Amino acid sequence: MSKRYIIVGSGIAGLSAARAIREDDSNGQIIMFSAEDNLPYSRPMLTKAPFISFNPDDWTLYDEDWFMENKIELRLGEPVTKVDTESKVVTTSEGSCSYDKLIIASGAESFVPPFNGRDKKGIFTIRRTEDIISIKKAYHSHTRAVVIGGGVIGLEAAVELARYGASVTVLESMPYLMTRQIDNEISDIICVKLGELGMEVHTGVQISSLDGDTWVESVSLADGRIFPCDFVVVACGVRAVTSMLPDTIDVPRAIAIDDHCRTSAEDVYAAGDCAQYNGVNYALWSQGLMQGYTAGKNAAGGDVTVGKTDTSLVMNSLEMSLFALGDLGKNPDAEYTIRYRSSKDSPDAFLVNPPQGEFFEKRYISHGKVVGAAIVGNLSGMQELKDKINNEEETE
Amino acid sequence: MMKNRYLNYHGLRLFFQSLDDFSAFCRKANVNFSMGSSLYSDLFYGTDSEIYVPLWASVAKTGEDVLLNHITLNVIRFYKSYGYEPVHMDGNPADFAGEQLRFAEYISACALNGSMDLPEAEKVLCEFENEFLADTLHMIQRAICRYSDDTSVLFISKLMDSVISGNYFPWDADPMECDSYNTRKHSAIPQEEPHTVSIASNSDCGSKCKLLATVCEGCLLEINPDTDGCAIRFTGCPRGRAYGHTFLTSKRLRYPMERTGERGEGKFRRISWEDAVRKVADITSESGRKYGPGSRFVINAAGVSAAIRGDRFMKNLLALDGGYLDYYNYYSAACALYINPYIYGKVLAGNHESTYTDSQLIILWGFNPASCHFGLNPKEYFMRAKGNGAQIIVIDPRMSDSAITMADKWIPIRPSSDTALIDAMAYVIWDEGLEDREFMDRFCIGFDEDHMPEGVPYGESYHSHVFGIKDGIKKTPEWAQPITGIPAETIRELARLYATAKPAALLPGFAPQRTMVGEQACRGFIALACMTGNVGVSGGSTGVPGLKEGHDCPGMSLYPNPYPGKIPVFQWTRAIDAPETIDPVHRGLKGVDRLESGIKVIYSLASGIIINQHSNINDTRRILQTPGKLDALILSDLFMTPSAKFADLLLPAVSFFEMDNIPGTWTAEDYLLYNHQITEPLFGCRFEYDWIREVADIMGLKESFDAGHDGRDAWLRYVYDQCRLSETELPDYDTFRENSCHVFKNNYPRVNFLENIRDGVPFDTPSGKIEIFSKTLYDMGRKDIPGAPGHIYCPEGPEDPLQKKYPLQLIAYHTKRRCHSQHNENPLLEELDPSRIWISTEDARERGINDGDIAEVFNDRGIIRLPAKVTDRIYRGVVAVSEGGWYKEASDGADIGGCINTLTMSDKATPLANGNPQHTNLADVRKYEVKNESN
Ligand SMILES: Cc1cc2nc3c(=O)[nH]c(=O)nc-3n(C[C@H](O)[C@H](O)[C@H](O)COP(=O)(O)OP(=O)(O)OC[C@H]3O[C@@H](n4cnc5c(N)ncnc54)[C@H](O)[C@@H]3O)c2cc1C
Ligand code: SF4
Repeated sequence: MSKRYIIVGSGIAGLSAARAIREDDSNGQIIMFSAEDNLPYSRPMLTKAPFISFNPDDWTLYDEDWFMENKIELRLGEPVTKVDTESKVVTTSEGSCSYDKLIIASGAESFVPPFNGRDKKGIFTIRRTEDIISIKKAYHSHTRAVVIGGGVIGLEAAVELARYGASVTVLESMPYLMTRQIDNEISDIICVKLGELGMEVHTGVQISSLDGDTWVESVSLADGRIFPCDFVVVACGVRAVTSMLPDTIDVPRAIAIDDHCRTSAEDVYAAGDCAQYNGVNYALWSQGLMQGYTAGKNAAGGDVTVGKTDTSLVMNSLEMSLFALGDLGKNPDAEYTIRYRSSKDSPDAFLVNPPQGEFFEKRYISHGKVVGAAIVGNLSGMQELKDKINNEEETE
Repeated sequence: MMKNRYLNYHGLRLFFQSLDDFSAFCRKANVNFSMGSSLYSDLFYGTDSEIYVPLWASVAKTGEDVLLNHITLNVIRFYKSYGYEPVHMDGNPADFAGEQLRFAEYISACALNGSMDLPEAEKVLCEFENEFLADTLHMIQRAICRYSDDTSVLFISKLMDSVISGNYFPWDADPMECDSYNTRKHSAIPQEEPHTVSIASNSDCGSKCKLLATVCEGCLLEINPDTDGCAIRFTGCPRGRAYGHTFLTSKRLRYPMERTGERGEGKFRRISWEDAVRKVADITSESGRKYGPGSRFVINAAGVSAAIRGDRFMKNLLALDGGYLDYYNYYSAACALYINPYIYGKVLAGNHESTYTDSQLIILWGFNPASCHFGLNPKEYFMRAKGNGAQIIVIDPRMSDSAITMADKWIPIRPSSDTALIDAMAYVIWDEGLEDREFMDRFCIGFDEDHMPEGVPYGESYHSHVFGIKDGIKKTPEWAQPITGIPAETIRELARLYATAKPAALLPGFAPQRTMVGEQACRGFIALACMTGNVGVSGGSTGVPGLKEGHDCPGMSLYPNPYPGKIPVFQWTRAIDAPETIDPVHRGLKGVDRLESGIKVIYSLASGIIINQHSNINDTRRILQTPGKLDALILSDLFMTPSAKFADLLLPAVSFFEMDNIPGTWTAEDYLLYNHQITEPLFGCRFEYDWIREVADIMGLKESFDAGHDGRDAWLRYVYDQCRLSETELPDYDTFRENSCHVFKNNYPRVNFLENIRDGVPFDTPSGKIEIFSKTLYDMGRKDIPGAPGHIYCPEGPEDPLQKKYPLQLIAYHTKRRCHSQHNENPLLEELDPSRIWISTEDARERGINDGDIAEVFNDRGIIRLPAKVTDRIYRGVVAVSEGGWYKEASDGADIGGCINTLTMSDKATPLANGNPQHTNLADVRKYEVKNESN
């Protein structure tokens, strides 16, 4: 008899799992439940596509025909509300359904820290297509937006808001931007670039409250500074979606998985932003893609272990590009030599479009190997650096 | 709720429809609203050159200033799937904000009047708003609030907010009384599928390419060269692929306008076409009456280089009304066109580019075919020659794209010194006995004293000049070295190589003849070609730039002009400013002895000459802004160009996308193309002919103006049929139109003067020979017009003592990103070659300028301020700015648009042709220090 696979979530992890199952099991029944109404799309494009031309349909990953061809039953707008691992049944908003193998790929949702006043209207996060549409609706002429969180998503959103015409202020609680991935110097360069786009960036701030009547009107800091605004975008990271899971599944912060993407419950796998492996959840596309694949293969009877996740940080918009990977001086015990390169070293007389050719590169070298690096500007040297770092190549 | 929503759409739609309609609506709803009509017109009709408010989804959704793109198509498809046929309000594209609101109004009306389900209507509206309307209104809001904080503007912005946010403005009005209330829901309207249309532009590009436009519902989706539509494989160029971003843009002029501010200020008001036509008629009649026909001037225009074109129609109308002051020469090739008949007895004295595949050596002298299309891809033939083993040498002050991509050797030269290099080469050739004496003796006159016309004293031949018989100066390579900047040894090698490689093609571009000594340069090139016996030989050359013989191209002939006067085109500013100084001897006046009146009315139809392409812009501005000099500038264009800002009557024209035509190939090519319109004229834009005909009607001249051709199509057909009289091979008009292309089978001889050389047919000159020495010129008795070729002193050239003050020579160059001033505003093309001051590393270092620094190139005539391109690609002592950049005045008077003519001269012209010496300028460069704006 053919197996029935249930996949919770139609993000990249869920899709990748479905594809992997189909590779090995052409008969099994695959049902995919999605809490969202639209066909699966590329989530990172929410902040990478220009706000002006934003059209969710442009970023659809697979259309209806694909689901038909691959015999995957896609149930849009039907979230799974309960999972029973004893009787192997999931309950959805419409009914219930038993499974042989269950793959949880419910992803994550945006995290809003418990700021005072966080329930006010006009406070947005970015995780789904509707979020972008709501933000655009809230825009009007002379819009001032405050973005809380100076990570990749916050900065990408800030750049797009600025391009859409808003005056934007970015507030970051850490002493500089993206403390996990880059260093102070790169952060400063980025702040200058953002400044050129007319943005204000404040780091090391402590938010005390979001104020306003019913709609947010300003953001106050502990030091007394006040930033009047028309709306706020919060980009302070994500939390795994696990509320529908029973106690039989071990969820420390995200769903714990082993190297086969197995959870603590039998026949239940998890992958992507909802999962953590070895206590780590990068919440990155590449992780969802790889874990989804692993979970799908194993659910279909295979024996596959998780690979390495490409953890490089890449931001690439017209106005600003940034790449960072590896250790940019974060290890207090290590000794680093630093090497710089930039487009100024070798002005290329034949460059077609000089502004697009400029770059600044910084490498951290430890024990003769490039351990980390960042590039701001033209990223054409990115792959080479990536290889150097990933393959732990010796430097010349 | 839906009622309010409907009223909000309705109200805002009325606003975009007309200020009056909206004001009336407000009055009825007891809303206090008043907006000045000039503010409205500036914001929403584009009547102020400083204000730009885009109103279309195509712009809002792409951030590009483009109309009729894929977004417009999506909007139309959206409309049609809900049974809405766009009405193109005020000629706008279908994705105009007003039309979008009109659609929303239609859907909400249908929901209100029950012809559509309420939930469905809500869903449709929500989707439409999210996809198009919200972004469009946001963009408009942003723009209008940037220019004005008038309460009326803020109110409109608020209305837009209310539409987007759904917190509707509470209009106190009865929906049932609104004009659109009763529209019923229609069923979906069938949609067009994308299809290709054969197009060919009117640009004054030396190539003319057959391109295929992918079009749907009048929207342009893509352009590709037609690679298999006819016997020629067209490659096109980046400009062609980006035509949409040049011509179908939101910066187009939309409606006829009349100047309100000072001339040149760029401030206008919208007027109706009836008014505009009446005014043109009045101005025309009045100037004729008041000053005589010679006061009216139709300026040189290259914007519509095609069979039927506005400037010709205008000339025809003026001819019927007593006449007009005509011109001769063009800015491109005044000297070459003028001088060739003196030497060869005809203008079209070049060879066909295909012959150069036989060359052993090709010298591209001030010629950059890698960037400039001169004819259909001559570059391809040169590269073929190279493949066959030919050497290519580029002589150019700049290491041009040709020098980089095609040449074996680049020889940098100082501008305006070509005659010195020519003389030195001639010296070496003679000195070393490398000349083709037989050819020279048989076919030429004037090379040496033994072959001179009767009645010329000893010492006037070219040989005598080169060997210094009269001035005692031998024109040796050592003599030429300091003038040209080329090492003597290089000159020797070049001369030997040219004289011994057989056959060798010396191919000048038009650049050397656009100097103050342009005529002498042309004559020198020809002399070298003759000395080496390369004339009449395949793989050789006649020393003439382009200008080959070939097929006729349909072009309107002109009605006879009753006024006989003609000026060299370059003298038009003088003809306004100081007409009394225009005489036949020095200023090239023809047909009359003196001008009866200065130019009082200019018709500039598809021309960039007024402010941009003519020399010395600051002086032109002075002339145009001095009261009493020019009465009226009637100007028709696509854009608010630097010239357009100076118009008194400014009329919006159509691009080649909006009308059929037969583009004129530059150099009499072996093919002919037809351009098919892909979309209706935008806004209130009209082909000049259409309104000129109405002017003719008012002036009572319509019948004679028509001459039996009662419309544009009839004219096009007629002009084509006229061409068929000489080009008998052409099919009938309808077949040609259908095929969009004709490739000629019976072509002219590829090598010019074959008959003369092979069969001894005399040349069409007084002596029957190639007149290296021209007695006609000699007899003029002018020092600056010698009888023979040879170096003469060049004002503002390399030997001018003014170099002490202005040590750098400034030249312009044709850039691949533009066609003259066209495409300047196309952002896709800009990055091909951003406007920069090219300066050599040494010159920059001396001036403390780094690559990318803002610098100023300046002389007594003005200042151009641009980023510097510090490069080894330009010769020391020379600076360059690309030609065609749009003049843009900064608050301190400097040009920041990068228009070379800010610095070129118009007080002097070349001696014989009265041509434009635009590459002969002295200037200096300095780093720009940003001054603190203290007030
Ligand atoms: C704005 C933005 C920018 C990003 N940029 C990058 C980037 O540059 N590089 C990068 O690597 N990553 C980026 N990411 C992260 C990347 O998008 C995620 O890591 C990836 O989408 C995770 O995929 P997933 O399938 O695990 O989860 P998700 O994409 O979150 O998909 C989970 C799906 O499950 C659904 N779901 C949740 N609960 C249920 C339920 N109970 N029943 C049914 N369905 C449910 C959700 O609605 C969702 O559709 C970005 C993310 C965002 C939001
Ligand atoms: S600009 Fe000239 S070369 Fe380019 S596509 Fe048009 S006609 Fe051809």
